[in-house]
This record gives sequence, C-alpha cells and structure tokens, in this order.
Amino acid sequence: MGTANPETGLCHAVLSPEEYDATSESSPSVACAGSHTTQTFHVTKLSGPLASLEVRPNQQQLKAAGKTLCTVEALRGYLSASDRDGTIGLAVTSYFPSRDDWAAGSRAVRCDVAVTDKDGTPQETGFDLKGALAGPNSAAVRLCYRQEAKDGVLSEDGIDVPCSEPHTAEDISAWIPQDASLATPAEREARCLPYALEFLSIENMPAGIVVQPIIRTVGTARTVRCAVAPTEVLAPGQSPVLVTGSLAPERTPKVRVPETGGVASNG
Amino acid sequence: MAEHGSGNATQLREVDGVVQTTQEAQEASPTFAPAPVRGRKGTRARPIGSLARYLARTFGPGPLTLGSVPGVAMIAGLVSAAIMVIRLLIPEPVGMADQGDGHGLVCSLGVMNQRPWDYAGFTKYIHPGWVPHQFFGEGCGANGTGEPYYSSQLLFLWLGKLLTPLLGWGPGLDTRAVGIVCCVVFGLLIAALINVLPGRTWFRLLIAALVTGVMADGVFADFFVSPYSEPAAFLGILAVSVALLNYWNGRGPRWLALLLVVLATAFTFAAKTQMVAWLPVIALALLWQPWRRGTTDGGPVAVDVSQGDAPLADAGRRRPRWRALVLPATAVLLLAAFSVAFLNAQPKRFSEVNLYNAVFVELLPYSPTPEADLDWLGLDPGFINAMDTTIASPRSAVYNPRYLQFQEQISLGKIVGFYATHPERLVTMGERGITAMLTPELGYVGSYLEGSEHGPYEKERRFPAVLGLFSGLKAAPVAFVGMQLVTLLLGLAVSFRKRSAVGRLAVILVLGGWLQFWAVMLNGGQGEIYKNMIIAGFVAALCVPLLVALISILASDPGKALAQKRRGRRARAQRAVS
Repeated sequence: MGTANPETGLCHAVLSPEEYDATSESSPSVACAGSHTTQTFHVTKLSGPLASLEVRPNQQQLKAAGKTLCTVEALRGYLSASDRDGTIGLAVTSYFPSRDDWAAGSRAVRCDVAVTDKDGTPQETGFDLKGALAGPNSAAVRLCYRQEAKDGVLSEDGIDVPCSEPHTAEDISAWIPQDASLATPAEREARCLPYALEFLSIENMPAGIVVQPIIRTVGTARTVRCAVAPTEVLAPGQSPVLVTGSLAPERTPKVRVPETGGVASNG
Repeated sequence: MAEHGSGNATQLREVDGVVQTTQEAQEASPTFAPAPVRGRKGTRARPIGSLARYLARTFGPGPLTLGSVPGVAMIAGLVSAAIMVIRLLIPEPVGMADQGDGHGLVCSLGVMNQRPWDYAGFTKYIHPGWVPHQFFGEGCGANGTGEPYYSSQLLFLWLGKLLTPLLGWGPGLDTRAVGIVCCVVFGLLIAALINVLPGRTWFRLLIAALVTGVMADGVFADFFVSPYSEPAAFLGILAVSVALLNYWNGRGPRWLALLLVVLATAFTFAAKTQMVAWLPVIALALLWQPWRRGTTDGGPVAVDVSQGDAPLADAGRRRPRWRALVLPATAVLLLAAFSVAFLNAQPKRFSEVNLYNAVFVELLPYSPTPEADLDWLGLDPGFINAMDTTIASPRSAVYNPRYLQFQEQISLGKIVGFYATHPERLVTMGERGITAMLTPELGYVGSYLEGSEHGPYEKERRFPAVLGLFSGLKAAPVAFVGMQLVTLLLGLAVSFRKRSAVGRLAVILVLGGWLQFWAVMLNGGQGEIYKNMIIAGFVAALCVPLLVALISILASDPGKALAQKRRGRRARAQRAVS
C-alpha cells in the first residue's frame, strides 16, 4: 500500500513496536471487523518549514509534527464522542510518506488510533472505532474508576479502568480543579449534577443512578472528576458491587453484568 | 650417591646438614662441582620454582617451529566449542537482552521478536524467539527510517535460522541457535589458531585455552545469544588473527594466504561500521612482508620476499622489491574500496545519530566552554539548550527550527577537526573511554530468560575472568594502558628479535584496538559508550593470551637450541669425515 495517499477508516495490522513507531507505514489494510491494531481516523497534509524540505525530515521531527496535526478533536469526532464522553486506552500515532513518496511531492499525514492495554501497548482487536462511542460496544474505550471501600465508604479516588472492566463509577468528562467551593461531597455532587444530566441526556437524575465524583491528586493539584454510578455500588456495610458496561444512554449494552453481589442493570 | 637432576633443576647440595646451592658449594669448595640433589630428606624444596620450571618445560614454546597439528587442533576446537555451548545453554540459556538494536538487523530475515512491547519490558530479560513475519516498507531496517542495515552477522543469523527448526525451537529464528553457530565457528577458529601458532603443541594449547577463557567471559560470550552484530566482530577479529599468522608464517601459496586475510578482514569490517577503523593497521599488516619459509624459528636468515616461492636455484636472480608488494597493495586497495562501499551502504540514520551524540552527548556536556564550541562548530547558540540530550529526548535539538543547520554543518571531519584544534580535550575524553572499556558489563540489559528464577536485568557472571581483571584495573586505569603498551613493545621485540608472527599480531591487535577506541570516541562518544566499547575491550582482553605468548617466546631461547643442533650436526659431520 502506498504512503502518498492514505485513506480514513482503513485498519492495519501493525504488530511490532518498530512498525508502530516507523515514520511511514505501508502494510496492506485489513478488514476492521478482523484482527487489527490501528485504524486511520484522520488524513491531513503537512505544511510549514518541514514540508518545504526536499529531503524528508527525520523521525523525531515528523512525529512531533504529527502530534499537532493528529488532534484529539479529530479523534473524538471520528469516535462520535459527545462532550461528556471520557475515553481510556486509546493511543494516537502518525505516519508520513515514504522517502520516495516524499521526494515525489507527497506531504500526506496519516493519523491512526490504537486500542491499548493499561501499559500503552496496542492490542489486536476486531473493534471498529468509527462512531464507537455512539455504538453499543463503547464500554471498552470509556473511562471508568474502580474505588476501594473502607469502613463502608468508597475511597475518594480510584484507579482508571475501561468500563468493560469491573468498576464503581463512570467518568462523564467534566474535570474541575478543586477549590474551597468543592470542599464537601455535597458541593461536589451539586457541581457535577448538570454534567451528569447532560451525560444521561435527561433533566432529572433517575432512580438507581447517583452522581459520584472522584478526586484525583497529582502532586499538589486536586481535581474533581465528575462521575456517575449505580446506587447499589456501595450498600452500607458491604463490599462495593463492581459493575461492567456503561451508563451512557443508547450506547450501553442491554445487560450489564456485575462482578460481585447483585445485578446492576441499566440501559 | 647423589642423583642427577635435569639440567634446568636447581642444584642443591647437603653439606653437614646445611643445604647449599651449587654456586655456594663451588665457592666453598672450588675443586668439586657437586651433583644436584633433589627431593631428598633434609633438602629445602622450592615448590613454586619447581612448578614454574615444570610449567615452563611443559608449556614453553620451545623452538618456534611451524606446522599444523591437525588431530590436536581438531580436538581442541571441539572442546572449545563444547565449552562455549555448555556455558551458554546449560543449565539454562544465557544471553544478552536486546536494547532495541536487534530488530533492525534480524528483521531482514523475515522474523519478528516475541517480546514485550515497551522498552523496560524487553530489556529486563532475553527473548530469544523470533517468529515469521512479513514486514512492509519502513517497518524493517534501521529504527526510525527503515533503511536496510547490513552486517556480516547476518550470515550467522541466517545459519541460526536454518538450525532453529531442527532444534525444535519453532519455524522462525531462535538466537540460541545463533549462539550454537557462533560456538561452532569459534571452535573452528581455535583449531585454526593452534595450527598456525608456532612452537610446541602444549604451548599452542595454552594460548588457545587463554583465548577461549577470554571469549567465555559473559561480557563477550553472552552476545552469542543475542540479535546483535558483535559476535561477527569478535569472531572476525579472531579470524583475521589466524589469517595474518598464516600469512606471516609464509607457508603455502602466498596468494591463498592473502586471500584468506582479505576475506577475514572484509567479514570483520562488515560486522560493524566501527571495525572499518582497522583499515590502516590491516594495510600495515598486509604490507609487512612474510618471512621466508623456515626462518620464523629464530634463525638468522631474514625474509627475502622478492624470492617468493621460487626455487633456491633462482635466489641469485633478485626481483625488484616493489613486485613483492603488488599483491598486498592490491589487497589493501580492495579492502579500502570495500570499506567505502560498506560505509555508504549503512543507514544514514546511524550517521545522524552518531554525529548528534558526538556533539550533544560528548563534546558539549564535557566542555568548559560549550558556547564557544558551538561557535567553533558554526552552530546557533540556541543549540545549547539541547546539550546532554539524545536525538530522541524531549529537549532534542531536532526540535530546534535551526536543526537543518546542524545537519549541514556537522560531519565526522568537522568533529575530528575540532579535536585536532583542541587536543587537550582528548585527554579527558580518553579517560572516559577507558573507564567505559573497563566497564564491559551492560547492566541495562538482562542475561536470563523471562520466567527463570533470576530477577530483571540480572547479569550472568559464571566465568568473570575478563570482568574481574577489568574491574581490578579500574582502580588504576594507567595499568590497563600499560598492559597494552607492554604488549605492543613485547610484540615489536618478538617480531624483530625472534622473527615470530605472534609478535606482529600483538602489534597489529594493539594498534587496531587503539584506532577502534578513538573511532568510537570521536564518532558518538558517550552515546551508548559501554556497548560501543565492547569490541575494543575484547581486543584489549586478548592482550592477556598475547602477553603470555610473547613472554614465553622471549623467555625461551630457541636460537640457542638451534645453534646447539647445528653444532651437533657439525660435530657429527666432522666425526664422519675423520
């Protein structure tokens, strides 16, 4: 496959780190329903001083340019993400024309996205990411949190997991620096409530779902990450009930299977 | 009655319960030269002296006669290869984990390493398995560009790929099979070395054993089970040594001896680009004319190369000396052309990374005046922010809008020119290089298989002969330089006084190692210096067997033995006449 005219929507089996990090990638595309590692979500063109060079710039220069050209906005658009969709386990890489195609004048930039594990390693998947966040299988790339319980109370923070794994809360992509106005749980829940309603596409919180912000501390900075959770996640005096799947309306699996305890079901 | 010891034994005499040496006895009683007494009750034994004399008698070179000992050589080669295989694979495989360079070379055989994705994951342990995989475009080759990467190590890798399925290690390539190939080649070279060394068989075996001891140290041997190109360099250096000894010994057709040197040298140069630094000393070696057959045992007759293999009857008709140089000079030109072609075929990416390291990892960080150095190099002062970074660092100079200036201005010639005008900087640079050479263990890559009982990055140290020596010399690096200098001087002495090719080899290896050392320092410097210095370290470690050989040859007196033989022949001839 040539590198001069990449196409959006094609999937590729890029299996080694060297292929993944290469400046250009020319393996033949594969069916997105089949096993693949990357999917082209955006194609653009390099411009500026680098593009004017006759000899192709080196890998570091081009990859740095790729980071500015392969934007998060472009990716979210490809995924059909709303403002309230938080994602996890997605890595973006960029590919450029081969030396020959560059010399022939091509300056095309191919932006690929890969589903990764928690270590950032691209995973082979049969998951088509085009419009994925609007579809029924979005849990695999949605951000959720798994909190620990102590004395019947969930911890403020939790570890990041995809919603397809057991979790206690689901991120709704509203991160707010914590200040004095967000000191109490009630204040945080009140601040997150509008975002939760927007996430759920409803006007009032339904029974069985609560706003459950978590607090992420990085260095000295504390951030309130708005999240929602089924009410049965922490029954008094019991260990937390872990759930899988997403609470996002019309995007979640029909049946959500809890890891422990009773069934937490919600569309 | 006193027993007569051998001529070399210390002669002792017991007089009234007091032990005297022969000399003391002679001084006390000038009329009687006593017979030696040895091993009798009441005598003072000198075990160390006796052992030394025993070793000298057993392992001394004796007359530096040439000639192959095929049976002994074959057995020794087999034993050496077996020792290496055992130390690499039993009780568990050991090797050198890949730090990322392996893929660029091995992928050209259509295989992909089965290893963790992230750098920290795959450097902790060795991952010998490579599975068949089809690469497209720039997915295979030098990291980042996909430019083809050539090395003579590919020959060993290819043979390893053929061997892998036969050993039940799957359809791809297993670097353990490559290790076996390297061990077999090493055994063949040891056998060849024994055949071309001069002197008695036990002396040859001793030197071969010492060479095996150097090679068996984990800091070198572990490379055999790895995707790196270093084994081709190690074995290439041994092959060049064998070929040069054969060439200088002057046995067999001269053109064939020259051809073997050329082939071994080309293989060695093609192992890694830094090996091309040996070209000047290989040229010297080729133009250093062989002795005429039969004169390498300390005899008085110098080589008259203009005679070639011509019958003695033609000795009177001397050909011009330059004609003897035609073949070696042609060989030198061929090797020079090969070197240029090989360097041009190497990935441009390597040159860029090496020049980057030479400036931003070596030259600027160790400079008292980095701003002035940038000015001398013709670079923008803004590059000072990239000091002490690699090309892949977040602060790398490649992100400087003026990086093109660096690419246009900096070349190896300019780096050499800088140090030529700032020679004082070479002193500290040399010190850093020697320290790196004395640190041959690559602590940032593991030696064992994942899942073994060994921890991440754990190094294998079952036979740390060289590691121990180098670690000891770290306390006094001047002794390390001194060791090489002594090897060089003794090599010259053995070359000119004893007319032994071993002396010449010592000269060539020491000079070659020094050239390689400075080639590494100037073309990359601190950038991955420990790995880049490993071959120069191997050459330096070979000084140990060389020193043993040189001292043994100098300590022995084959000339005297030869003269005694001649006197004996003359006496017999006179008796026959009378």
